[in-house]
Amino acid sequence: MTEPVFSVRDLRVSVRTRRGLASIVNGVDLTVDPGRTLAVVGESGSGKSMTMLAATGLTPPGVDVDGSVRLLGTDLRTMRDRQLRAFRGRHVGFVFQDPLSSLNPLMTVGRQIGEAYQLLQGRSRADARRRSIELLDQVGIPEPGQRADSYPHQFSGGMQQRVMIAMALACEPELIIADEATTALDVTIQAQVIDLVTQLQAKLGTSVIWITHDLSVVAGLADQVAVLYGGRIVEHAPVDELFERPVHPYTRALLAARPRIGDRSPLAAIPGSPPSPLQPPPGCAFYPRCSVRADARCATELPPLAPVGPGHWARTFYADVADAVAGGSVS
Amino acid sequence: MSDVVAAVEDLHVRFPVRTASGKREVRAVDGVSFEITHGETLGLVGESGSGKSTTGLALLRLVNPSAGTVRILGEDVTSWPRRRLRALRRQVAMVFQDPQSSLDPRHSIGSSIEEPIRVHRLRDGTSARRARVRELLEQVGLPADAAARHPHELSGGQRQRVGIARALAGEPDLIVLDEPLSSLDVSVQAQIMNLLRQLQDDLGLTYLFISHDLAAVAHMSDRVAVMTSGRIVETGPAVDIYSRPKHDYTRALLAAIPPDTPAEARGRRANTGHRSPA
Amino acid sequence: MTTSSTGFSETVAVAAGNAPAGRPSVASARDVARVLLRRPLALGGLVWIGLMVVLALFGTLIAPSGENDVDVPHMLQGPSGLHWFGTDELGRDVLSRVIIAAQPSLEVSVVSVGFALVAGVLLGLLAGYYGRFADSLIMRCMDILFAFPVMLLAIAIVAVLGAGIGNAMIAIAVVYTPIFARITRASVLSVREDVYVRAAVSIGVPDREIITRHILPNVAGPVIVQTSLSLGFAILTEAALSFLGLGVQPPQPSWGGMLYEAQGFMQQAWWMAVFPGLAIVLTVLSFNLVGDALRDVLDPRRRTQLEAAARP
Repeated sequence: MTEPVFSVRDLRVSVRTRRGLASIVNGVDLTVDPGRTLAVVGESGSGKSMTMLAATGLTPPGVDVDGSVRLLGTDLRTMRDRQLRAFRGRHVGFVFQDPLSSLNPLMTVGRQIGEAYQLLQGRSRADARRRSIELLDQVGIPEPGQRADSYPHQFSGGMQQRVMIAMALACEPELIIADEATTALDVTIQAQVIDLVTQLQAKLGTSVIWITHDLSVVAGLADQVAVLYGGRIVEHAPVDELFERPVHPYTRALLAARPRIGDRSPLAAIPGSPPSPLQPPPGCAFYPRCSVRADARCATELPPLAPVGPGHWARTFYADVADAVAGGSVS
Repeated sequence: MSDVVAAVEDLHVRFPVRTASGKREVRAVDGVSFEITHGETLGLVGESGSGKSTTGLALLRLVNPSAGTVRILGEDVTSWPRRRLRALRRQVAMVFQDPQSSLDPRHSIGSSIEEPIRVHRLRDGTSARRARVRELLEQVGLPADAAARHPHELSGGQRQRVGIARALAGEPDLIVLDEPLSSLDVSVQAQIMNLLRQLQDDLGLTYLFISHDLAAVAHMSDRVAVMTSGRIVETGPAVDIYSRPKHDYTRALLAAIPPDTPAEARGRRANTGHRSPA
Repeated sequence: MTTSSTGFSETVAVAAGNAPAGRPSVASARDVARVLLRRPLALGGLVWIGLMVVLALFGTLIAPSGENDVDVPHMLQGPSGLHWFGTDELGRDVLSRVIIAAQPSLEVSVVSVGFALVAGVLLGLLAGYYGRFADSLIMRCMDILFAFPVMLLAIAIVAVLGAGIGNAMIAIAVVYTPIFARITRASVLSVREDVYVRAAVSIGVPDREIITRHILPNVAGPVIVQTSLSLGFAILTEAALSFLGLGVQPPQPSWGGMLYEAQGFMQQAWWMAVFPGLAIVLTVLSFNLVGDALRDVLDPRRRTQLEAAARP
């Protein structure tokens, strides 16, 4: 049993706002094994991005974080700021959604990629440049030697995202965290970027945490899936298990609400909107929108995360009922 | 007597661009033709830069055609002077991509929805207009008290419903929807799609549905036009396009649709060696 | 193509009661009041301005003496129980003159900035909204005015028109119009590209209405900020003109005029210069402090900066 690369225990994140206390993350546990991909699925207000930012110490001032986070066996939460920055820079690579705002428009791409490498590895400028070109090549940018001297705006959206990936890989991190990395891209480019990441992962043995709202992205690249709702994990399973035997009504609703090519009947839409962190519902967070409501306790009691299958956990009272009603579907 | 609502013939839209090497021309729309008949939804699908949004804007003369014709209800509106455009903009309404930025943050919801009614004088007097606003709110599934609120108080899905209500307010003959789902949460997209379909059935609406999301277009459209680099490469019934694509680009687009299940993903990888065409 | 959720920034921003990320929030009167109350300096400035307004309106009633009443036995005397600010070379009570002089100072400032505001905003709206020819024409004219240093231009205009309080107002109005035009134009250019303006065009709203209903309310913020700053600078300009004898004419007292008269008596009677000088300084400072505080609330870009500081 290998040591997980990254593990989070009982992470809680809250912000004191003008309108009260906002509980954004309410006790999240996650682990990522070496070389595996964990997909974190959720919508706005689910806390998916905040979970990662809090875990890696990137939250802005004013945000309270609680819980334990271990990266490569080292406790991140007890580290001093400078230590954390160096450690994080060396071992975690980030890929964010909008490359244009993550890339410095005034610096050539080669220099940006090399910057982290130079600083953290203490290498020379020449070494950093060589590494940049090598990485640009790895991420599939043609004529990397020349393009290293181009500026971000001279690349297309898909290429920019590849540059982001190159930057994330610069220091050979053990973990890459991608937050909605393909959301803003065209479908064909998205497919290419996903391909690229899976290939790189296979080659370099990097672990990946992929944050997304898009279940089809998940189907293509995840090993494990964690579904977040209202700041908590509501379902956690290996990817096949999740798609074939989803248990939590939210997961089932998400899967059912996707339009299918060839089927024009009305979609099984989920009514209502995700809950606000300022007013968490008592009991199950999904209750107000749930069409199942299998148990009297749903409205008042928070269901615990319980095992429902091999490596499969769900936070719902429906699981008890689902056992009894074999093969029942959420209408 | 045809019930063709909109007919576009050999439409070209060119933008002059000043670059370091002198003036160039960007051909956003490069010879596009299609027809939309009453009560149908034409899906216009393409990737970014394909010119699909520009085409939609041309139907309302929000960008001016450089060549070709645009006919709305049989009338050639391509060269209509500015003062006649107000009439055109009652006939063709638009739903924008980002519901938040498409609503004036300083105006109440009711005021935003009322604007077309006021501008086109569709109701006489404040109370008649307010009543119509309430009617529209109900049609899009919003409570009557939403009229007094401001955009920042509503969720993304609710704001898009407001955008749809505003488009309906002018009683248009054609509604152009430009990426109406892209800014919404996944669970809300289905709601809005259902709403749009239901409104179409109830009110006999005609849509031009512009999107890069192939699955959404397949769901919403009767006919589909596939666009790339300013040209339409294929048009036809949605069913045909998706099951028997004729053009290479259409095929490439369909092949890039993410897999529905992990099993499907593995299957693709096994078939092609990698998931998608490079 | 944009996304359905902006994740973290959306969550924090929404939780913090702000509009979701990417869009500057709209300030309410309550926000303005809150910011002003939280800053003692700005609050102090507001109080001072209020005091000056009261003096401008009721100065002659409040002042212990008339502006030209002389008390010959006590001329050139320092601050005393009888004359709190001392007396000048003619035996006039400096305190009374400072109080009464508030009126022309504020009047010139308010009237001239008022005109500059109306003219500048109108020009800026036209230049920004219609662009191209109107823009070039208007902004080139504004650029010509900008090219001159404020004082030089004001003096030149008054020199042409003749000294006097009315012409001083015209000069100051002309000198401050360009900044309003430029600020308005810049705001209009950015607001014009906002989707809701395009939506209004798509509905068929006539230009006139688009400008008044959609653009104007959204450019008001920077204009309000500039107004409070300009009011302060206008007072300074007016004082300078009066000092040179080009603005308020004696025997009507003005702070600038009092400084002029104090020149010859600087060594013997420092109070003749210091008190009107202080009045000028404190008033200009007050307008600046209030303007800065307003800027933090009303200028949409500043607000997004403040909100962005809350993001990683």
